[in-house]
Amino acid sequence: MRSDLEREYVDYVAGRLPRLHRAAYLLCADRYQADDIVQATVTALYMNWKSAVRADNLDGFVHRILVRRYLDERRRRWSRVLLGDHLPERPGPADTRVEARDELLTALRALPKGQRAVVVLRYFSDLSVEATAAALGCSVGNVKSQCSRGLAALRAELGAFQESR
Amino acid sequence: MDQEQALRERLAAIATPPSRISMDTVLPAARQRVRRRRAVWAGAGAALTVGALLAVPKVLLSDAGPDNRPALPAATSAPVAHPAACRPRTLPLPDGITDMEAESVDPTGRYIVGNATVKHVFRPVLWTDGVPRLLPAPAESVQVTGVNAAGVVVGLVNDGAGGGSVFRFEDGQYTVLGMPAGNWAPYPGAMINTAGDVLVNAEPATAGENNGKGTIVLLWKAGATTPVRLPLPAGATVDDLADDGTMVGGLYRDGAGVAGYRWDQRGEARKLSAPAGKVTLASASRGDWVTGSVWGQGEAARWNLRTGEFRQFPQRFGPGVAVNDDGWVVTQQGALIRDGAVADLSAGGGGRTAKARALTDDGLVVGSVAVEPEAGRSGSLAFLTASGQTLPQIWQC
Repeated sequence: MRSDLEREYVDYVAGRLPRLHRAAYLLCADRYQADDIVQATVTALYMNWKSAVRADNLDGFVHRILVRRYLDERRRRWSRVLLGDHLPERPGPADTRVEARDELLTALRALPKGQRAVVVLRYFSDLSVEATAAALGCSVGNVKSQCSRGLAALRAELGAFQESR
Repeated sequence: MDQEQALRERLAAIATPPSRISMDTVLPAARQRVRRRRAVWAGAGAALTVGALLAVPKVLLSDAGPDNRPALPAATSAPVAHPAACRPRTLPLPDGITDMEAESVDPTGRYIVGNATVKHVFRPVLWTDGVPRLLPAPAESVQVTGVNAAGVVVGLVNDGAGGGSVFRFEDGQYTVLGMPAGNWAPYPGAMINTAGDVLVNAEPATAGENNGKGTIVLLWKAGATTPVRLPLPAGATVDDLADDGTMVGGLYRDGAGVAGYRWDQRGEARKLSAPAGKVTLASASRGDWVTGSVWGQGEAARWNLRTGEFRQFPQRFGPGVAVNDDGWVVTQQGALIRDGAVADLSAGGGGRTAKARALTDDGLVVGSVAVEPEAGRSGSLAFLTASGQTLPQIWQC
């Protein structure tokens, strides 16, 4: 890649890595798999940066790649990946406590995968209903119904989303 | 505040574990990928000019661009390519299926099972003597994970609620095997041996990651539908069930590997050796051979329990996941290591990658070929969000 293009890519990706990782983590609920998905996503973006940078909604577009990689990874049965395949840099009870503390995260993980993906894309990644449908390869109607079922399930679990103060 | 906005804010506020990805890792990996793709395209072109679909020679897959710094640390004891190539054979797809992976093979090579993906759920496929059959799907998702020499298929069914169940498919009939009282999630897949005994790990089906905490190991004797809980120590996870009833796996504590073991069904344990200061885990066995990994390094390991030999393979191949009675190892990354060297598994060139998954004692290797979405040469980006296609493949090695 030409150095000016690469600089542009670095500027774009560096600022968004934490958010992409967070979206991937909300989707797959596994910190290591989230890393794998993000790496695959930004690699695909790098390889096509010259055209991608001209996309109308680059952020939305990158999230679509991310979701596609998530679904691909899931199909490839990452559940079988041995834990030893990953480098546990900072294993520790501290992380576990952080994870356990958020009841929204727990409720999200209990959702069926389709509903979870729709909720994350709509309300974390801010994709439109149409963009969510495109990312997931399903109909707009399907997104709407999954979304309303997902929200209903979350609210049944948590009550209102607004935290009591 | 409106509830949708409140949900947005709460999602944004969720604490996530630290990521290992940074620009320091992103750029080298991406650059390396570009070099590989260039090399693959060059290789595909060359193959076409001689009018034959040849495997891309290994040399073309290595660094071809001007920037040839390796993105990953070089392996110290890399096996050299084996001179004799494996002969590829395509497995026919069942009608209506366009995307699937082969998963397992019985020890005789007569039966192969795989999972087709239809709208992101699994559909099971069984090949008998090379003839495919799409098995019926009694639940939303049916995933096959094993088959034995009698053609008995096992796997996991999931109807979208609860932790899922283990099934046995025999003589055209599904039997869902009973689980103990409580809510258990079987993982990572059901195993079956020649006698027809079925084994699985099960963890409490709580929401979220629990790192296998509270795992129990369940065995259904051939034909039985009620499981026996095996007397293995807390933290034990089994990855393979041998024909003699022994099991290999590892002991985990708080999600981290402690040691690799072979157990018999009374819980008698043999701890597997490990290099000084390292932890090893076992994931498959055949005869005297056991394969697995060195924890935290992702390296394949192999033991011979009779001779005591221990061998480690370079990191880039990933943990060992299958082994045959000649000691050939298939790794998580899909490499076949035989006689200490990596066998050349032809993928057909042109952006395709081959991955081995399972093997028999006769050297039949079962796996898949991933076909990447067509690269965007016309400026269209549609391929970026398209799924690649995966096709089942076998190689006679």
